[in-house]
Amino acid sequence: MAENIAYSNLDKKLFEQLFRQYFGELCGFARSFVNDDDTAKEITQNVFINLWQNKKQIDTDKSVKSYLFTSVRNRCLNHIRDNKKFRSNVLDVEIADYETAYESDAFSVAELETKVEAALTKLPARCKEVFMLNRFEELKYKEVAERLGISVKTVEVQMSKALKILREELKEYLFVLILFMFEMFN
Amino acid sequence: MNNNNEHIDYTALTGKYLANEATKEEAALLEKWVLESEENKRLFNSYRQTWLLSQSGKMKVDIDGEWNKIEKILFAEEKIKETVPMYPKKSLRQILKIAAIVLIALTASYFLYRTIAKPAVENVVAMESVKSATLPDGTVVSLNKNSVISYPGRFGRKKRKVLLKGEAYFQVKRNEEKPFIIDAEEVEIEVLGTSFNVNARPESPVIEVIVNSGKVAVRSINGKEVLLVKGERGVFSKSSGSLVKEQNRSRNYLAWKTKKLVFENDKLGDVVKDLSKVYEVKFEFSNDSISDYRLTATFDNLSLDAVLNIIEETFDIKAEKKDGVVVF
Repeated sequence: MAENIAYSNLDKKLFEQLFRQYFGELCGFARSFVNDDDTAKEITQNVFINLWQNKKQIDTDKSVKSYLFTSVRNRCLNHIRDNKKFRSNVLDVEIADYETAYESDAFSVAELETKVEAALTKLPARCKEVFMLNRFEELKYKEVAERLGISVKTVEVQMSKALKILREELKEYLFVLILFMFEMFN
Repeated sequence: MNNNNEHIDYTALTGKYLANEATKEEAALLEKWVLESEENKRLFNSYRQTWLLSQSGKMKVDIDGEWNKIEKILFAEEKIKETVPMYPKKSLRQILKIAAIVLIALTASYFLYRTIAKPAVENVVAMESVKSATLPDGTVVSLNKNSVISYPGRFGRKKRKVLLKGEAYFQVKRNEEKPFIIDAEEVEIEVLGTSFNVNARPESPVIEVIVNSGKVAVRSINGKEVLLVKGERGVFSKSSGSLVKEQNRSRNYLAWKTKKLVFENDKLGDVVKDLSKVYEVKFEFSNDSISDYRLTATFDNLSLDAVLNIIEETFDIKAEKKDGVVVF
């Protein structure tokens, strides 16, 4: 399989295969960090270009898939650090446990997608509307408020509610992730 | 809700932080709260994970289009070789090519040797937007869309060598001892310290260098060379292998970077060439006489619609947009 090839043996055909297989998933993964389609695509393109140009130098036991997801995540964090108005290093880096389930060969994006979709149906109508506009249509709180004719404070409250419900709905999934991490490091 | 700290809704604050809506003060407040206990830390992390998971899934992308872009950047040379046999006399070209490959291999292994622990090559890639980068020697490069520049993490002792695919504007830091050399497809550009624009797109039939200040040497792979000074333009033709020097007549060669377009009594037919480069749309004329209309105008950082409005009003014509083509 393409995932288990040695980096230095990567030829154009395998490279294209990897690109076609993972580009969409990686872009989605990147977007969950950077909240912007173009930036997500650019970061993912860069990761592939870097993989090709530095394939002889890459020294890791990781599978290519896991390498790709890790690289995308690291670049996203750098992008957030360099481009956002204010970020806390403590919150973003020091205390953060970014789940590595994505980097597992067994991880299925499709399965997660179904779970998330089901979780979103559990949100009350207005709450879902607010969350979708901010998270998926990339509107700022202020823009969401204007669009729906509500106050920014209400947007904050609805977003908080959405997070609480989603966390509860995805709890099993979060727990699986934590278990998975536990296995990885032991 | 009020500002009393006892009533802070930390979930809402977490939400704001994750959505990048938190102010510096709010982030500091959240940071303090998270560090207060393991429980808070776990809670914050679980919200972060929820936030990330909520937008998981594939992004709908035009995978063929994206592959074409990356193929153009990484494998362009191969494609040109396959499709365009450029020189009838092969021998000299082949020798030069082999020499070039040997040189690249030697240079590459030299850099490799010098930077064993570090990644050998740094890349700056601009895909969807124009990008700017500062190289290790202080040279500033602005990179147009769909362009990539590669350079060693540390420059060599005798030269500063970079690789360019696409279009870029260079402001090279002066260093008399270490010439700055750009390897751009079939030409090599050598300078000591100056500013100039290089357009070396794999899909374009020519490679073009326009000098803004200082002196620039351009050498082609078939052994031709021109020296350019301020206001001059060097053009290498990939099909004929010619390298010529001429006066630069384009006022707008840097518009991709500055977003400023200046026209002085220019034919609309020429105007749309500059416009299509900046706004990435094609233009057509419903009537040939329209392309001869003369325009004098300055467009400083305007949207395409604003520019079209001005042209419509100036000549009392209609611009219609469909499928990325503007028809006058």
